[in-house]
Amino acid sequence: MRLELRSARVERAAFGSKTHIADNLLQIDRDELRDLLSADSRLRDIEIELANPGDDCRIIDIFDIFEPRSKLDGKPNFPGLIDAPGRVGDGATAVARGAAVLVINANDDRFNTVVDMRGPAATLSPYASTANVCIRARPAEGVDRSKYYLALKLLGARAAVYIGDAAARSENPAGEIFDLARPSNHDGGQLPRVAYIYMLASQQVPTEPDEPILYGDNVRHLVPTVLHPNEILDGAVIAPYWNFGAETFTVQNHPMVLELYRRHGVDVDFAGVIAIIAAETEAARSRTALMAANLARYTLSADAVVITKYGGGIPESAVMETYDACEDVGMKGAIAIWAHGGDGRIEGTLTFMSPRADAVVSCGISDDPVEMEPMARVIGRETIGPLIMEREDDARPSGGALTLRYQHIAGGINQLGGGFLSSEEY
Amino acid sequence: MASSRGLFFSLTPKSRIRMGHRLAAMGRSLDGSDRDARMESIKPVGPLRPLRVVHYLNQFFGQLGGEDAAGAPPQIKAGPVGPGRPLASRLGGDFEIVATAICGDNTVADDPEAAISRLLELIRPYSPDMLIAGPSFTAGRYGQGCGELCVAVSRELGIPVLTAMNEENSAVAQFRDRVLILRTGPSAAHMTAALDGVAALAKRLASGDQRLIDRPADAGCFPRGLKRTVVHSHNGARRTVDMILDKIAGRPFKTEVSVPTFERVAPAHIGGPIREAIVALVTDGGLIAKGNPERMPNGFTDRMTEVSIAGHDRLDGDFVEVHHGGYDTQIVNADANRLAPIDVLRDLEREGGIGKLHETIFSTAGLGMSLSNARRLGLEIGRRLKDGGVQAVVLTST
Amino acid sequence: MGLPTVQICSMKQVAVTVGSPRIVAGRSVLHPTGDPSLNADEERSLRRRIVEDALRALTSTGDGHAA
Repeated sequence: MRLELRSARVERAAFGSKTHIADNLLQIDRDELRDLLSADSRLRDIEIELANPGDDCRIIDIFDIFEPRSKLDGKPNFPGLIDAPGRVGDGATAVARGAAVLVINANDDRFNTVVDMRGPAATLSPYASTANVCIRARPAEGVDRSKYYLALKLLGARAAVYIGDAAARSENPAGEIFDLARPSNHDGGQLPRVAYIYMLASQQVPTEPDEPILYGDNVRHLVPTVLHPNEILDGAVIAPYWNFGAETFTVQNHPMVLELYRRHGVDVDFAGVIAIIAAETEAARSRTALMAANLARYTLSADAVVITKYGGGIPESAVMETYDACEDVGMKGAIAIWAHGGDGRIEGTLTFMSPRADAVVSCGISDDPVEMEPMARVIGRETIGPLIMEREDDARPSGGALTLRYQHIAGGINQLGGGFLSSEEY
Repeated sequence: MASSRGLFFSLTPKSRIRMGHRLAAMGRSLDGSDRDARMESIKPVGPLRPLRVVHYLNQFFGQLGGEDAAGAPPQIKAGPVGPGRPLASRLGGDFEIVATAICGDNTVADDPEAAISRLLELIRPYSPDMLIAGPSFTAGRYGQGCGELCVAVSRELGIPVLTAMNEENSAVAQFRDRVLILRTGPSAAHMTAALDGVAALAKRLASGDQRLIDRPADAGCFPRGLKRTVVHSHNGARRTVDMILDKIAGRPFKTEVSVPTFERVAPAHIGGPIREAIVALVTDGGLIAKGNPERMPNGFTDRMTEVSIAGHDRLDGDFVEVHHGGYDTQIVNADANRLAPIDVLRDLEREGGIGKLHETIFSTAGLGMSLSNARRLGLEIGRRLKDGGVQAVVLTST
Repeated sequence: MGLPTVQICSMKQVAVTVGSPRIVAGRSVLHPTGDPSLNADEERSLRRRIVEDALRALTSTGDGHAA
């Protein structure tokens, strides 16, 4: 499994007569892309808008975000979603680095997120620095939420591949290699072996029957499963419909996977990834914890694990049980998790806490407030809210001054460890 | 707003949460008020005359007597009393202990509102610039009195306050988020060192040392038990891998989220057999009277309601419903006995399995309830149940 | 406080985390003392069992968890 990412650099996007990337400019043939995406009969009224870093623009109703990529050599793109399940993580993939596809939700979903392209809130989102291709689409008549959301994922993925193809055609791309067996200064058995336990989804909000998360599977009853990190980096994993702290873009650039890769052969031996879910019954959570720990210890021969979470409070229980199970079989564990703000006291930080969890990194306080200035232009509906965790009952004008929370900003709280926000106790 | 007032620790729940550096640099605050008006800054106090200090002591250190004087009423004396004298000499000429407020420990514990209110009345005429309470070492009621008075003085008079106690004092957990508390040794045998510490802290406080709010633990005080957003230069993944490598190697590391230590609730015992006990049902599942006459919120609340079940053998939709934003209430709305098992408890009452079922259900919607509200409501419910003769509680939670 | 209390809840770990001394397993977050998949009689019996467990826990010394 040797993955090569070939990146074409993008700093701005503009509409043009032909889709291509040159001199850091992504030009998009709007009609061609719209026609391509309109082929899905589950969707109608497809609109494409652009927002560049520094624009006086707010993007709301964000459902998911994709990095534009396209597999070279005929390998499958987003296997299980666009293409049939097939091997990814091997071979070359073209990337339009610095561009992003934002899928805009026509539904008033409380978990929709927001990006301001300038102003104080822009510093909180990585997507204020990307050239954003925003695509809106409404469900066709009679299309229910589940079908609509699947169509939206396909919309984003197809647009991502379309732009990725432009990256594939550009010249002199930068290259990055991901290969666990690379020689480098690999010390073999002397480096600590660290496995990453990756919670893909939480079943406290049960996934839909055809919700594509892992090679198109809805992971409804996923048993702990070993994955090669390259599979995660190369399109085998899509963020769940429940949009909370991990859009597909960050899965494609998985922070924990990238970090372990960065240090592989340096101070860490990256043992591999174990995918789990947070199950909704106690029995399944215990089974998950047990099996994940066994896989890490006895199959991957890990000395230690790092664990990330997905979802709300209930999965904290799954994380803590898994952590305990790992320590029970002699591994050391560390956890990255977002914190509840509550009334500001440390007792309310997590809903579940193992008394043995002595190594916990914070992904930020999800409900800390964010002041947002008015913006001249809005991509998305005219009113916003109420969003999750808000006390407001009313929708407000989208372009006005707003007070939202970190978790409402796309990328504000990153459950995969990608953010720079943290919390400290004092 | 209150920027002329100097340091105070009066806080709204929101103001305890400090925003990340970038946002804080904007000087913006949640409620639109001047940021300095919240707890986030200290202004130096005291110009050219000595700082006027009021000292608070309990009946024992205030030289009224021992436990026999624990019911002593709030009172005030001019100048320093008891340990106030060595404290005054340590504070030096820039400070003057103009008065000493004294109150019996039981007086405060039995009716804190009244006691504190009276103490404030007595203190005001002295126009203090600062309040120093204690040290109370491990004495819980004394510590509580110190804490309550500090909070009230800070809020009403807007002056800097500080107190001192030992980590075993139960008042530490209660007040450390709002009041600067110096750590002391466990007993009055450690008074000398405690007074040294109090005097040094008072001087830092008067000089406007912001680090006392930001990092009280660095100043010999208890950490406030709060958390705030910070922005790191490395992302969470990198910090996690750094941390696990330290942990593997046995190097020291600091967790960013610590395991909270909840006070272990020592279980109370039923006085007699359950078949003679008066049992009450309490729930956090959002049970309310039908039609929600009290307009109870479905979460994020500090309120509770009492639902009467007098004359009812079970819960039904004629007189109750369930209102809770944190879970799907369809199933319990179809049959509220699935949340509050009144039907079964009535059976048991009839059969003699319990003595009596209390006539009302206390209920709240537990979604997003802050721990301080939960604590307060819990105490309130417990008080009212006990007043009603209840001897045991069944609490159902979703 | 001095009032013996037993808690029926299904998120056991929360209750343990906050130091609640007497805990009895509820059926589910959505219906702690019921189960809509059972018929009325079965459900009543289930409810009775849970409540009896809870009352038994009330008379315990409170340093273990029933059920």
